[in-house]
Amino acid sequence: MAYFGNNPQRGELQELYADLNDLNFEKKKEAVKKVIAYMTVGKDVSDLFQSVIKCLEFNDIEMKKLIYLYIVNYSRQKPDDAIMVIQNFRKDVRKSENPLVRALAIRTFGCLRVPKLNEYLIEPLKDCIQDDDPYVRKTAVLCVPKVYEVSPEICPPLLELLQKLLEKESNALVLANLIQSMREIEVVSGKQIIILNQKIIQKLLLAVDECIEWGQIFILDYLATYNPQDSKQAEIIIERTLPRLSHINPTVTFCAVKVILKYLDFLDNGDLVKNLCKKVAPSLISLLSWNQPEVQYTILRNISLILQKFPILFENDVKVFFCSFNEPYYIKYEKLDIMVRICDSKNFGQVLNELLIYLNEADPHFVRKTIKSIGKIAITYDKALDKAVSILVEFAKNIQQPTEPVQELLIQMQLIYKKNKQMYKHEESLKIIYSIIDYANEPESKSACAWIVGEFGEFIPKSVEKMKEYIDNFQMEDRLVQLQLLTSAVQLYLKYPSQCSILIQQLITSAKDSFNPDVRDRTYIYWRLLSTDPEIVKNLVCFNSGTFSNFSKDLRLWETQDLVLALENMGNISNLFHKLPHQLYKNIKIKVNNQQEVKIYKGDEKPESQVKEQQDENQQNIQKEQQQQQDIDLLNFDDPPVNNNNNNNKSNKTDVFELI
Amino acid sequence: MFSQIFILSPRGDTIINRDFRSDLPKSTPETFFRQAKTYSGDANPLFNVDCIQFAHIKRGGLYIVGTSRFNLQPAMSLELLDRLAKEIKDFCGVINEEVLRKNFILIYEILDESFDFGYPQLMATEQIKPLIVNEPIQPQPDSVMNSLRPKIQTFNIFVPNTMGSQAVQRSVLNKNQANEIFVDIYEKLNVLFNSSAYVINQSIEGCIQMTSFLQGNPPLKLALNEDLQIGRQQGQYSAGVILDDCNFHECVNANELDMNKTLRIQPPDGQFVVMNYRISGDYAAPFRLFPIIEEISSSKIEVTIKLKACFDAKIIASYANIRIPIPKQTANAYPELVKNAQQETAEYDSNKKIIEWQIKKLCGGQERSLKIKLTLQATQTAHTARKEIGPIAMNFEIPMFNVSRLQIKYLRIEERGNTTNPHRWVRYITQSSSYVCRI
Repeated sequence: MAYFGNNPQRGELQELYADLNDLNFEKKKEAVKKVIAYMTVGKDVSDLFQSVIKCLEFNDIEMKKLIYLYIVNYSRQKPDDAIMVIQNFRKDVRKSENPLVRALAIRTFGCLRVPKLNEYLIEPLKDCIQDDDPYVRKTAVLCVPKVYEVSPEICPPLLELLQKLLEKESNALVLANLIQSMREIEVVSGKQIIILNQKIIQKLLLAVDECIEWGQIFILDYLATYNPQDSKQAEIIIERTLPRLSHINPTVTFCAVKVILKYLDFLDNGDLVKNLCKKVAPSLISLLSWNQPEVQYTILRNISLILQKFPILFENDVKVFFCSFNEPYYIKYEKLDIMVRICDSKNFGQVLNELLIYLNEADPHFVRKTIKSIGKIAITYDKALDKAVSILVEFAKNIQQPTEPVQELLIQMQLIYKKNKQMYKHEESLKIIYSIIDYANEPESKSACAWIVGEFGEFIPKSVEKMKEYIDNFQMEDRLVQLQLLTSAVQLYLKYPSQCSILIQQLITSAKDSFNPDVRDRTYIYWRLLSTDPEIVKNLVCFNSGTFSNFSKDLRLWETQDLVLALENMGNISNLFHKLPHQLYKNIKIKVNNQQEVKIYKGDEKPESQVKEQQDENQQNIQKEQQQQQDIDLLNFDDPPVNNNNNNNKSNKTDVFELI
Repeated sequence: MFSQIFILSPRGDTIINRDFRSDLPKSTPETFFRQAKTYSGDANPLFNVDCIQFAHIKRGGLYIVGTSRFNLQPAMSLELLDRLAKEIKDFCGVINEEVLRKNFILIYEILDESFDFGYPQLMATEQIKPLIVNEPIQPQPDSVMNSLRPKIQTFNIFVPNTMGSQAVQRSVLNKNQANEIFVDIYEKLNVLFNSSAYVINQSIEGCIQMTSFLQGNPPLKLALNEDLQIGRQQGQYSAGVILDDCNFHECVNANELDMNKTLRIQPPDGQFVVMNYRISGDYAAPFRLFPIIEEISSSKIEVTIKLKACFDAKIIASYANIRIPIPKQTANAYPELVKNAQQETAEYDSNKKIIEWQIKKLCGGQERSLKIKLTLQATQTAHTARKEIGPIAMNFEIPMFNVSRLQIKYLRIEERGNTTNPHRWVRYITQSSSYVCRI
């Protein structure tokens, strides 16, 4: 404790100085330890540099370690003094019998990070890369990226050496470090450094078996970026990776999963692909059961990514993703999300029954998410629609307060009605939903209610009174609600012209002076249209086709072209945020990767060409819809899914740029 | 990978600070501490401030933090920090502020061997042992700090709540130690019952964990049940023990597992998990819960819960706690135990609206029951309120018992002629992970 706490006063430094220059070795050592203690707490002891360096003359390894620690910390502040140490380093590297000392010297040398010292480093580093002892080699290999970062111009001979070493190295640990350091240089320089051939790959695969776990991670992670030449090679790599699936370290297992999933694309044999999927799924599930919630969370986030490419992976395992009551909520939310993704025509009943139970949970936010998930299932899977709606309606029956889940319920019901307008017009459900309409207190849910009133005006009692109530409070509402109210009021007016004429005038008077340009514009458009020809308005506002086939697109995390990049970064932190690496880190350069289309593994596998055709078709459909939506967008009849719209805007923008 | 690794005291003082890449400002520890303090409760294990990625774990009250500018792997970085904590614990015996301050030179040494340029290198205690020159300095045994020490949490390792073990807080570098090895089989149960006590979903997460103080780390042979089978075919039923999936520590050679159900182990020093396993199949749940709900009147509900311990009478559960959430609109609740109930308590927490029923000891075959009388506020009727009761969650621990019937047949040192026969201690422990009954 005595080492810490006090500031090194002038006197203390002097005392240390005296101790460092003392003849007694033990006293010196104690003094050096004190210096390190000061350094740790961030106090400046750089003035003692020369005295500390002098202590290097003893051939004591403990002392050496301490002093090197000190030098690394202060070398950039005192580059001129640091030159004095160089001789010491060179002596250690060249003459020492002890590989520990050689490695220690070269490791510290690499950390100096002073450009003008690096010239002296090249020769000893070359020696160390070719050292007989693997411990020295493994350390030396990692020194290269250290040097490269500070002075890349002197590195080419070192890189050549590394490549040579890659060809002949037999120690697994050295190989792992070698791969890692070459990869780092690739990232920093943006050039390809590692040149692979059949033999090296063979060697790497062997090394995976012999390596310590972290080395395995380095090598597997690298293999996941490699594109095999043919199906045969892919098969071999997968075969050698399979045993890693039962490693106790979750990262090793996950890297193995990454490698296998990547190489599946290159296999010709469909049965083999299916078998491999069956092997990968249990390993991923195991990762979820043995680890801490933090690790589980990262795995879950990645599973939702994997599912986009491999929807078949967990076909029969949906139970695994059921939430248990004592899990943290961040896990539960991810599991909900994944359940929606796995849900298909076979297991939707099971999923919905489970979600039904979550509706009784105490946490309103979780219940809200559950309702959202049920809504998503209803919209995405036609077969599940009836069951999902009956669950939601049942839930609506018991509502007595304007809680958070109620808001979501209204929003989801609006979406369901939008998609299936004809089906629910006369249903009992509409009445029940209408009875809770007063509980809406968020802009989104309110606008959903306004939509329902406008759209189904003729099927619900007292719709005009309701609308009047809304319009009386028009000024207080959020912009989103105001816009929807305008459209809904016009719809209602067309249905009940006589009852609503005063209403609509009241609305126009209060809306035409709105501070919000959107609201104002829309008011004027409706006003003009209504005063010229109400029939046109009818065609516009009561647009009845309601195509929502692209709702299912909402389930996609990534646009197809980004999926490749996202999959490559599987397991990294960028995926935790469901972002691409360059969106998160400014220092990362993107490799533009507009090669092959992405293969999606569906339940009943179709030949690739068909899938592609289908995709093209989908693409066309989507474009058409977007076109349509843009036409109607003006009236905000349907909120188009955000994804599409962005996309469209983007392409428009680029067009404009091209024109310019 | 990591740019820096530092260890901070609970007050934010730097105890250890190792900079591997010098690409981040020197003030990063302060940045971390400031951000960590903005969270109510524990900080997120990972967060990002100004493009600096922080990963941290908390051990013995200390923050062990890694920073990076790169797209690191979150699971791996947490695992690395945990491994580092384990190494420090192996060398020093415990992790706390006092010990770390006393041994800071040793910890710098460990850090230097474990990481180079931020990349993990050798991280197994016995691998770096020959490379370390400093001796650990043990703290004063009777120091006040020691008795106040917070319990050490472990990341990937099960810790039983009730069974003590002398293996927990010992340094592997202690030379005069006994030649012994501890083997634990832990099983955590996940069970979900519906209201009629029918099992909807069940699974076991288990592990075999060893703490080795064997001199010279001799190779071991561990034999498991003969009827063991790994991997489940769809729709297959068998009398034997079927593991759906399992994974192994690096030191384990599982090549002979299929043939003669043995594992060859080259044990490292200290604590490690030999294998993890997962079982999804049917098993007899050790406890059964039978809830009965009766609406006495429109404002009164009576809940009766019966608990049955369905295991051998020789086995005693060391505790069983049951939590029953009751409706939010409850005006009052009276939990009533059976007359002459011993070592049992039942309490009503009116803030959380939860009944806590705690049973200290429960022998196999016994039955217990609890009756709860609820009075509701006028705003809600019994009919709607009864839906808000539950789910009932149970926590328990049963020593010397495991559900899967996975057993250690023998544990041998492979080399013959080893004169001193080490002590071998085997424990079985079953815990609840998520044991829930829906109503």
